[in-house]
Amino acid sequence: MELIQLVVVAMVIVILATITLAAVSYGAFKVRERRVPAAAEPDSASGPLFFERVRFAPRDRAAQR
Amino acid sequence: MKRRHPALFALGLIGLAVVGGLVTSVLLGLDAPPAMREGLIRFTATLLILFMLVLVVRYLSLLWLGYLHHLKDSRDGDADDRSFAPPVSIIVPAYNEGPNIAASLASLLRQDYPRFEVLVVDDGSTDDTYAQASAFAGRQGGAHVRVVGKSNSGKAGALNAGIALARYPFVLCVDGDSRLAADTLRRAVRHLRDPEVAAVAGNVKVANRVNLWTKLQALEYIEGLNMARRAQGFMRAVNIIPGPVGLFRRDVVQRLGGYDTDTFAEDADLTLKILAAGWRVVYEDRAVAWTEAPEDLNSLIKQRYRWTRGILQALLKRGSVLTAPQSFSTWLSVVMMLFESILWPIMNVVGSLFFVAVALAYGASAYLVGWWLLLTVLDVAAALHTVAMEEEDLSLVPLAVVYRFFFILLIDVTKLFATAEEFAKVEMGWGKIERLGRI
Repeated sequence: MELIQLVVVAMVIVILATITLAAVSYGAFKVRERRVPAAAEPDSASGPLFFERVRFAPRDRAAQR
Repeated sequence: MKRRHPALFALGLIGLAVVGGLVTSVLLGLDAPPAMREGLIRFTATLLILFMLVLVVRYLSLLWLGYLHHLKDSRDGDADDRSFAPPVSIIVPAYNEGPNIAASLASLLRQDYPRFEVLVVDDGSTDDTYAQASAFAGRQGGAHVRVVGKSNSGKAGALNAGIALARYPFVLCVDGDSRLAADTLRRAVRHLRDPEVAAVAGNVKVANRVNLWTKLQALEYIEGLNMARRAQGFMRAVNIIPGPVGLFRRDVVQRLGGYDTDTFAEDADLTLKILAAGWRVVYEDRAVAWTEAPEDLNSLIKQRYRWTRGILQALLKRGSVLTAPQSFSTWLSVVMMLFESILWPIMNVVGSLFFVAVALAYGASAYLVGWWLLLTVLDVAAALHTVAMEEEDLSLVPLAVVYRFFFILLIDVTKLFATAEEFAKVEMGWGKIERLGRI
């Protein structure tokens, strides 16, 4: 087999294997994402926190004192 | 962000279409009449030449503009000028940065700068971030450290909180895991002497070069991200001020409403907002921030998925930067962003698959070799140029040989899936990458 053919075979294998690896990893990522329990929603329901108003958690008040 | 429109079925169809097209073209090609075979080979040659033209123009213009930026920067007399040193607030948003926050604060406090404060905003961490940061609170040499906590509202909310509470007119926004070089602040601040400049993007580098994944990312940051940013810096229209290091005029950011919370790339969104308002955004090569890159494929895919969708969200939101740009350079910079985020990944994946199919079906393997050679020569040249310019580790250059056909192809496939999901409005979450605290 000529060198050029070897290069072509190697490239075909690398390209197809990489795309397959990417697709499988992406699929695994999506599956894991679905399994993870939903994180607590950001505290947006209680209104914007800053620019209009700044809210501190109780421990911050203690820290500020 | 709530997006209840599951479209995994559509994604499956796209995947099936690509694989089906490939298999069909191979099967047809094995038994194709000579005229059809000749026509397809001619089409392949034309496609390769077109791709070559686009790529050569892309690489040469980025390298040339980057070089001009480098020259301009080297000629600047005030590179070491310490006469302009206004006080700066450094904002550190932190969510579960326990393994990193102490080292990060230590690096911030080593800044070679006369007057600054460090403001840590703990975004409702569930680990010991707050306690670790609080150990630094108070006066530390020439700097003052404040730590505030708030309920969790995401990184954009934490940055807005920091900007609102900042005492000084300029704010340096960093990530909870960023390590800054001692002269980062000094190098970046000098650009704000120009009243047209609203923000300065710094130079982000990978700190944890511990395996092939992180070494390839280190090369990508230098050859891909920084090369593009340097070119945009010459046009004074950088399109993404990176999260790990960005300096802003506080009043401009506040007038524009701060960071929006409706995208997953708040840094890209704010940058586009600043450009759309007619301000200039520049790049400072020597304002270096070291960051911890994902060390495995799973974390890398998670990160790139979020980046891609976030950038698309920002681009779709700020379409006016394209349709009614403030300047030609802003327009060009956003066109580059569109090219790098959508067109270039499509070209890379489709081009690779197409040339593989033609090689398998028609035995025209020269086109596949041509495609690989072209990309590899361009990547090696770009790697040599940019690694030398940043005085980086030369051992990264040989990785450019596998960079495009392995690493970037992998990232580009993820980008395509993420793009399809964004257009299909599939729901997504932040998917924070676990910090290992290696830097």
